[in-house]
Amino acid sequence: MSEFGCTADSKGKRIVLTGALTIAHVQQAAHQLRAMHTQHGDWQAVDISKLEALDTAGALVLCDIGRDVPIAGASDTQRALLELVSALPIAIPKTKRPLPPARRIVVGTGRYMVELAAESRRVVTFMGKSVLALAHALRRPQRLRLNSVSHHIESIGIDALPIIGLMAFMIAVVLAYQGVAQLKPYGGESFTVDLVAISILREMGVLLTAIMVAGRTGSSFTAEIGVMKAREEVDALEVIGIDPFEMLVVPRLIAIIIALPLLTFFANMMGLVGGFFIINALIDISVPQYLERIHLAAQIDDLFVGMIKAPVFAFFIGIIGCMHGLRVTGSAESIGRETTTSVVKSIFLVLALDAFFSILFQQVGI
Amino acid sequence: MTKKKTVEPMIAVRQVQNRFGTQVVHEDVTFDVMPGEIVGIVGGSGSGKSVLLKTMVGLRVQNGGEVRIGGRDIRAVPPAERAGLFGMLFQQGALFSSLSVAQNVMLPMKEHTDIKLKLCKKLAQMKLALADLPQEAGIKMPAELSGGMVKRAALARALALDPPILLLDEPTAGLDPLTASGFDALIKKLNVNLGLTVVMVTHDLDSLFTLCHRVAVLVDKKVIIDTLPNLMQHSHPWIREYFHGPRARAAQVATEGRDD
Repeated sequence: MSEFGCTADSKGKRIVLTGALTIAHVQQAAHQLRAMHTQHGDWQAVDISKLEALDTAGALVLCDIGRDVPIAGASDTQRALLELVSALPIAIPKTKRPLPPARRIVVGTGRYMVELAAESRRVVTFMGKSVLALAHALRRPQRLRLNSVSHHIESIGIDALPIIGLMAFMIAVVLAYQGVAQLKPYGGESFTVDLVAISILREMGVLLTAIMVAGRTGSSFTAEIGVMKAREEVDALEVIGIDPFEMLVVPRLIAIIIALPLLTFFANMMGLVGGFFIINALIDISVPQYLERIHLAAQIDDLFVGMIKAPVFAFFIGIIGCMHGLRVTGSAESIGRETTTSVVKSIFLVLALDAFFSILFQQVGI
Repeated sequence: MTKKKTVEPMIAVRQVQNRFGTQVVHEDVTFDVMPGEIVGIVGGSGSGKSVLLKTMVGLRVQNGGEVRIGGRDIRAVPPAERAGLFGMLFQQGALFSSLSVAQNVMLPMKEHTDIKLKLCKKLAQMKLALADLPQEAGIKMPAELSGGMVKRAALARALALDPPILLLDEPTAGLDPLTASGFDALIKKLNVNLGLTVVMVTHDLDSLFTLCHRVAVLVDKKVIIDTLPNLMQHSHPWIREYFHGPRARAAQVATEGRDD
């Protein structure tokens, strides 16, 4: 198919179009015709009898000209096409203009604060509903879905053992390594055991486990419930007369509240093992010596301080995960969006709560 | 539009085989689609209608045989050229959810032509109007559209590069009868006015009776293609049942009633 071309006759009154006026050439054609129009402003007809091809894009360009100048030489199909396109009501809808940057910051901040308040209210409401459903289920244990609970404990807890163990081991390795390196100049490298034991038991074990579980389990709660929501399965539950809270939220909450403390304990132990490996390699300490040292350094309170936080973190991770799952709307992309929000929010909550616990324990002197 | 020996077929499917593992879906599928023709593909569930459509656009590499478009093997056509050759309407619309409707239509134009933004926007709005969508739909996101509008928007995107061939995968599935017949009329209009060649997989007997020049029936891992009146007389038990069932009769009566 040959290139588009347009030529004016000797008097410049009649424009003859040749070649293909199709989408591939339409930009060039529009450009040429505009140039031709400035050159021969008083044209009186456009002859398209020599056009080899015309599609809707080309017809649109011709229709724009056709408002001022008659179009001649159209074949029957071309005329039908031109009529079809010229009859279409084309108006480019206006998109909203973005606000100027300064105003956008102010408006954005305001909106964000309002949204934050509304969101906090929603979280608290959801928390209340969940606690009620939880209490309701515990009062009538025959309605508790134990199968579902044990299934979730498996996927939250047992399936996560390798990754949690590895993580705790590695973190302890890093701590111990740094501890020895920093304390050696002062001759206090044996205090590395204290460092590792206390930091793992009080903070690192539970915090990192909670963050890992928020990423792993919180997201899967949102995605699982979200898919069910998107495919109207949640509505189907309600129609069948089953409370989605009781069926979907309660078993997950119970499972995560049981599994996260257990995982935390496992992480603590793996951390102590990891610490031993490095300390043993760097300052030559035997197993009984290591255990003795831990016994002297860490109180049972230290373990308790760490472990008490686990079910609280678990509760919030579970709540946030389920809440965002139920907030999914029909579309697939909202599942992705809610999952991201859920993970970010639960990790943030875990960190904020941990800071709160630190201050609390400091105040009560544990 | 009847088949003439002198005209080169638009799409030629030759001895195509498709297998999934040991399960043979197509054994020897052979048929032609002529320029300007509307061909419907029907078949029982699991007979490989969608697989056949995907093979025809080169989304799936067949296990044997070949698909020729305008005399060339489909797999030898470079992707950019392929985009200008076919428009495909997917069953669920497959609109890009992160783009507005107009941006969806503009995407193929932006990728494959040098059209400037201003003209591009205008062309996109024209395609939307062509697909019978209101102009304000352009700035909406796909998630905000109803089922019928999604199909229309997807059709507008399929038409973006003015392809000579349009492939439709169950275009009227999930639409209410009024919207569905509106969609049928739209496809008819495009076929008549733009000379589009249309291949459609459909279960909608109304569409078959009102639109299709010929119907390809997938039975026994092969294709039997013929005009509807001839298929009605066909002796194959599945075809007999399909075209003589109560729904088929109702659709036929309805069509004859409003026939032009």
